[in-house]
Amino acid sequence: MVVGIDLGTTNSVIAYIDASGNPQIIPNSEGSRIMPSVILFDGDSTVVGQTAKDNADMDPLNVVQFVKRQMGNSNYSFINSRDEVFTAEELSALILKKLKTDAEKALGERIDSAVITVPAYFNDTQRKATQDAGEIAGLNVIAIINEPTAAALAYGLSKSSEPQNVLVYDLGGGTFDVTIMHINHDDIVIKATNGIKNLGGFDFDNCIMNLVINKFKEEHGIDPMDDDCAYQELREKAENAKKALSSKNRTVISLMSQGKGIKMEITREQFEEMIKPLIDRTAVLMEMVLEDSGLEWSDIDKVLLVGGSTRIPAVQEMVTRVTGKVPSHELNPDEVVAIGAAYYASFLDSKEDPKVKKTKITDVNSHSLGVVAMGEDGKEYNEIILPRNTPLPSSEFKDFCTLYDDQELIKLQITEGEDEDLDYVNIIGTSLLKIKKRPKGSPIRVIIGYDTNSIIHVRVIDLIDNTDLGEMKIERNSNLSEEEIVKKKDNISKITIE
Amino acid sequence: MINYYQELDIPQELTGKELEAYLKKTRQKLILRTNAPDPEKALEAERKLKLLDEAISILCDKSKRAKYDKQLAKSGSSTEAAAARQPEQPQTQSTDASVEVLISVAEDMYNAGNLQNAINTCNKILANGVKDKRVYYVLAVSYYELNKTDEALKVLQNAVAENPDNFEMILYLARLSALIGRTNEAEKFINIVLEKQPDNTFAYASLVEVELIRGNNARAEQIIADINNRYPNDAVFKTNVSSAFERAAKRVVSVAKNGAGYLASKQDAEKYVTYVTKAHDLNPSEHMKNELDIAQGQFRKRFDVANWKGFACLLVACLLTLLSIGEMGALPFIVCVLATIVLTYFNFKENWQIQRKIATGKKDPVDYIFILLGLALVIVAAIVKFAFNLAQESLKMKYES
Repeated sequence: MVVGIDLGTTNSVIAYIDASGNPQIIPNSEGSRIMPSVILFDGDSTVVGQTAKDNADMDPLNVVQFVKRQMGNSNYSFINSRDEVFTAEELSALILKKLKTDAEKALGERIDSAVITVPAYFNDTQRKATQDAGEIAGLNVIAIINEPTAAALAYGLSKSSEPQNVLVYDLGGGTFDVTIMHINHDDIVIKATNGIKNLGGFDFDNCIMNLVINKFKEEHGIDPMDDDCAYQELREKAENAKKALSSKNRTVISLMSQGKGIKMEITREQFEEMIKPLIDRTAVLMEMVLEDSGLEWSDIDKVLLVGGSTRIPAVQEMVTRVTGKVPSHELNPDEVVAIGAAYYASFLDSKEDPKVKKTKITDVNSHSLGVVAMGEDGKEYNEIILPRNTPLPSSEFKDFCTLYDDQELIKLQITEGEDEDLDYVNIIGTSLLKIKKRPKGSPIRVIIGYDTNSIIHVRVIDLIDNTDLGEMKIERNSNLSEEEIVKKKDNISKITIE
Repeated sequence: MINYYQELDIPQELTGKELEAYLKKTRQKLILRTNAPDPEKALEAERKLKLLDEAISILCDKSKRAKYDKQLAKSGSSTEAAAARQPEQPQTQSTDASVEVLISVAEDMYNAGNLQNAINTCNKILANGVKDKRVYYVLAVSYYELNKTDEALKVLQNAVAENPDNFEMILYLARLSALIGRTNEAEKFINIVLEKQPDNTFAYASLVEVELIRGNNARAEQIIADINNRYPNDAVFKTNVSSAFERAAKRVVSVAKNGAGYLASKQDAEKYVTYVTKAHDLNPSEHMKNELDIAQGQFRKRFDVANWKGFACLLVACLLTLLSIGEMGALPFIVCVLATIVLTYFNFKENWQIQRKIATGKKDPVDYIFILLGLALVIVAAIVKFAFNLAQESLKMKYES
């Protein structure tokens, strides 16, 4: 049995395609279709999902949330009060394991393979980390696909007879991304994508929280956040208030902390004003992605909304205003990604069946790649060689010069990011290359290539005699090794999740 | 008091459209900076974004800005900073970061066809003592597109005089000279480059363009064949020659643009299609494929009978309208009017789209004339019909009385 999994920042969903070809969300053992991506280490037991979220305020130091934001971050680890240390991959694996075991119980069938979705702007470290999390959870990860692509598959756009340009606006719990793709039958070509790592429903909750905290301070002169439990309680209430304001014009929120309490009313108008600067940022990114795609708003045939935060009426209004199209939201925005992943999983699973045509997905590189170069002013900066949103596979080159006479070594640092300021980019690989002694200003060509498996190849050529100075492989040092994965898989398999 | 100019690297002399474009760029940059790998840097970007929102609300409002600038001048921080800056430069000295953004603003303005603003911005950057080759280039092409070729030439000459080793700039100068018809001068410039860099294939590509402008296509082909023999697989040469052919194709259109507004002669159209095909063969990119499709479509559409078919439809429809005058009731008349409009619309719709995509950027005036003619005929027919009915009515009344 194969499944599709949407491993989200705040919520996760698992789905499969049933015998008659219809997508089905598999509810977990608590009977809910959407499971909060929250883990609670409660005494000796490990709890994942709604129960963990509900009890989060009782034991805030043993709760993990938003682990997706840490994927690919090798410096991150979580230590619970049992002094057990977990990496981001292991924590994600716990969530995946809960989804897997509950689904197996519900279907009475073993799940061996899965397609897991990631945001389009995830780099390959983050993708690899997600894949590793799946392996640790005991899943055979047959593919990692982009969330917007999954959404398009779920809407069945690849079955439409007309070729079309689709914009997917995905505003979830913790991340935002926007993607423009061209769909022609089973041929999906990603045109451009961009995203904001830390923007989503969580930040909208923060807006409401700040409003309540300020009011509390004003009335009682103390900071309610000194109390960890009050913090968790307020976070939960703020989230509920936000959800209520999508259908109602006003709602009431109350907070008790350190023996003092307040009760206040929040109107939709107030809420919309608070989140406006954040929503406006997503509008700026939509314009940027449109520009990168080389299209005009009138060329966009369909706009899809994905992610729970797109239920906010102000978000829908903004998307309609910017794109000039009324967005489609017939499918549940929380479930659509998992459904698309399930479709893709079943495509891959039935590959041998000649009747099922395989969907072809052409991707772009979501981050520009470049090198650290020395400017005329002697300062180092990021020189982009392969710009973002270039269709894959592709390769680009730029020519550089040696800095002084008889230079023997080049320090080649490969960057990932858009900014010319090195503070805002990732250095994803470094190597020292020996070159022949040449006069100052001798030309050196750097070629950066990106293959369809998202592997980066860097080649350096001495242009004076056209000799190849060698190829550099980008070693992703922040990912787990094979042995570590096996070991962690063993550890995680011993943990029983409730 | 917060000094937005300093905090956000906004050059104080910017106003109006330039300021708006600059703030927009800064905003895009800051939003992407919130993705910084270092959380401290991400928070810094977040803080600046909030400042930017404030700055936009003040600086883009003339009266608010005047008030703010006055207050800023009064407050200590700005007078100190201004005093420190004053001796070096009479104007506000922009920082490196703001120059980068300004250059990209200028490039964007040029790309958006906002030429005068692009020129102003470039001149401002140059006045600040920044000699960047991108600025010279944008300035020169903007002048060129405004038909101020002398200014354009002067800019590139200055750039070359300042840095005689910048071969790229010399080749731009050569290309521009060729475009305004000074092909001998262009060849001289190219030879200067080739003397120093006999392997510079960009220079050979420029030479091909010179020959194309001279109309000496055989010579151009010969150079292409030579270079292809000498440097097979040289992508730089191929892409540059491809763009030379693309520009040659555009020139065919732009010459025609000054006349009839479309490719009036079959000869012009054939030339146009040949050039675009050449450009596509040398560089089969997505963009060129698109251009080729348009070119071939243009050729087909212009010279098949579509236009005459449309015109014939109009005539038939008018004839029917006039004939229907003899009939009783309005139905045949309405059907004829609708048929006229629908037929005219479908016959010209496709032609319009192709016309619009072609370099003219404007709709073909001839097609307007067809449509206007059609509507005028329909209106005339309607008036005649109305008058006829009225006359009939009054005749009837007379008869009855």
